[in-house]
Amino acid sequence: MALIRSFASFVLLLMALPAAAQTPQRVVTLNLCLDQLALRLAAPGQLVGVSYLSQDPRLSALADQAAPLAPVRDSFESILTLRPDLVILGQGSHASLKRLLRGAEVRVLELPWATSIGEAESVIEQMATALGREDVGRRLIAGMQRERRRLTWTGAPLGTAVYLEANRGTSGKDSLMDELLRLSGYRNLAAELGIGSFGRLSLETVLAGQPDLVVFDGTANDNPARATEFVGHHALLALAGKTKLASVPTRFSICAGPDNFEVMRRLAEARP
Amino acid sequence: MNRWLLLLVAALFLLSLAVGPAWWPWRLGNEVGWAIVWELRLPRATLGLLIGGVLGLSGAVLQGWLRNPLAEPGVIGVSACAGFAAVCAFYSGLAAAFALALPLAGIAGAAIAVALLMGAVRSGTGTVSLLLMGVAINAIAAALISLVLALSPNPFAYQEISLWLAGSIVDRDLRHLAIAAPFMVVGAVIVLGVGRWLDALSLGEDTARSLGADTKSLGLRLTLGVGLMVGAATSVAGVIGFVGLIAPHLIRARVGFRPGATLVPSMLVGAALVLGADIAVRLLPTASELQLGVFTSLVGAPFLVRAVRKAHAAWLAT
Repeated sequence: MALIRSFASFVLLLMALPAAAQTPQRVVTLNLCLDQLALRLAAPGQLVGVSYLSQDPRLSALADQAAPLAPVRDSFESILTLRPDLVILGQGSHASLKRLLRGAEVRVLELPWATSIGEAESVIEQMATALGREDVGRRLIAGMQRERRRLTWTGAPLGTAVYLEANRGTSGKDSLMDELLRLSGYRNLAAELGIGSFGRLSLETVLAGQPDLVVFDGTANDNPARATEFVGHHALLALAGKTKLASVPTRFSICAGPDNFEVMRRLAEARP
Repeated sequence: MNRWLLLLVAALFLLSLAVGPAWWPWRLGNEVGWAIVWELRLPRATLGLLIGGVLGLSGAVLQGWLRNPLAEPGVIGVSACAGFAAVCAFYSGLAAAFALALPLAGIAGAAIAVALLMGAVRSGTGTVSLLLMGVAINAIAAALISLVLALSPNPFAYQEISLWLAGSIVDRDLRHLAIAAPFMVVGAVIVLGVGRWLDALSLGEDTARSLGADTKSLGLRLTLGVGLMVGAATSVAGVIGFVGLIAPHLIRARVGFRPGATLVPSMLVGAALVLGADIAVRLLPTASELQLGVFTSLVGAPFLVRAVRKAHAAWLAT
């Protein structure tokens, strides 16, 4: 009797397969920022693998949720062992991997690299559709829009701010950080100095620009490297009297998406 | 000659304080302008002065002591060993917990390398063999540095091998100056008094002993001095090559080829070289600032080629 019942359920499962092909059951995402969105959108059990970077708490705001999933490096073999029916990866990346996956008849979805909150919302919409989770996507976007309205600074301009990254890096015009600084009421010093979405800025230029706010990841040098040693630089600390310093962990600012509002909350706390 | 060299070094030091993306920061007329000079440019200029000085002096000392015109902390692997030890202390987080670990590790690495090379020279290694040993030591140290950097959890660490193999004094602050400067000064004081014995050594070890040189304690003194100087310099700046080669070569003929007389002028020329190179890398219109060690290698490697050819010619003549 039990045997018949299980046979019957097997037949039912076979019949359901065409529908299942529409809604992927085993999804793998291959880039940190897409991982972060998939971890929020996917149904329990739907996401089976994410990039190994998403398990790194310094880079990933959802490292805890990513921990039980399979960490994927960009190798065809490690992806195939997860038997995915959908692999989501970044547009214009992993060219040879895409060919191999298509050759193995695995569905591939390419999504663009979002560099603003608006673009992230569009990626969320596309991913939610692909995962068959449109309602979750809509709720997530509505929440983001609410947060954005709530955290946008509408008072008098707060002056200039600058974002400092490893290796004298900074975010200039048309970057995500530029948008977050502007929404928070600041002008981006790097953008005003003519720097594009990513550029370099010496500490001396930062000091000479006399920004009102300096934003950097205060935990970046916890494992020391010369690239991140600026975090404790005397010159920066010497600014502290005049200039506000705000520490924003990289995991909240590295990808466009719902985590960016944590950046805005920290910027709001540093407000004069 | 020393007076002119001193003037040149002083002029370059002042120029180093004046050069930078913000040019004349005192025009800002507030604490930010002073922060630029005091916190960024002064440590950089002073480190350039001291590091150049001790590298030039180390080159002169090693060349006199080993009686080898190609001896130089970078070429024979002393700087690379110091760099490896400093990298261990820095990336493990030891230096973050205990700041002096950085120069102390560098000093230990440099002193061990000098002692090893001395052992080889005592057992009768020729000019070219010493150079080949240097090549081997440099290769091993570079590989080990690369390994340690790969083990660091900081995602940027691994790209920093070039920073250690071709040094730079960008964005060094007063802390780096404070931990390295005392050791460099002490090392220089230790070796500056040995000029007389280096002159004696140039006549051969037996002759030097008959002139009253205690070659064993002299060896210890030089190992310690060079270790302190090169170790401390490399631990905050990375390997800045060829300065110790160029400096003595530029002045040897002018002081009558007496090794002892090259010490002070070599120190001044070394300081002028590094200060000048550090100003040059700031002024060159490269997309990202050229590393100081790259610049000194560009200028210095031709000197090595020339010195090797001379040494080869001398060897053929014997």
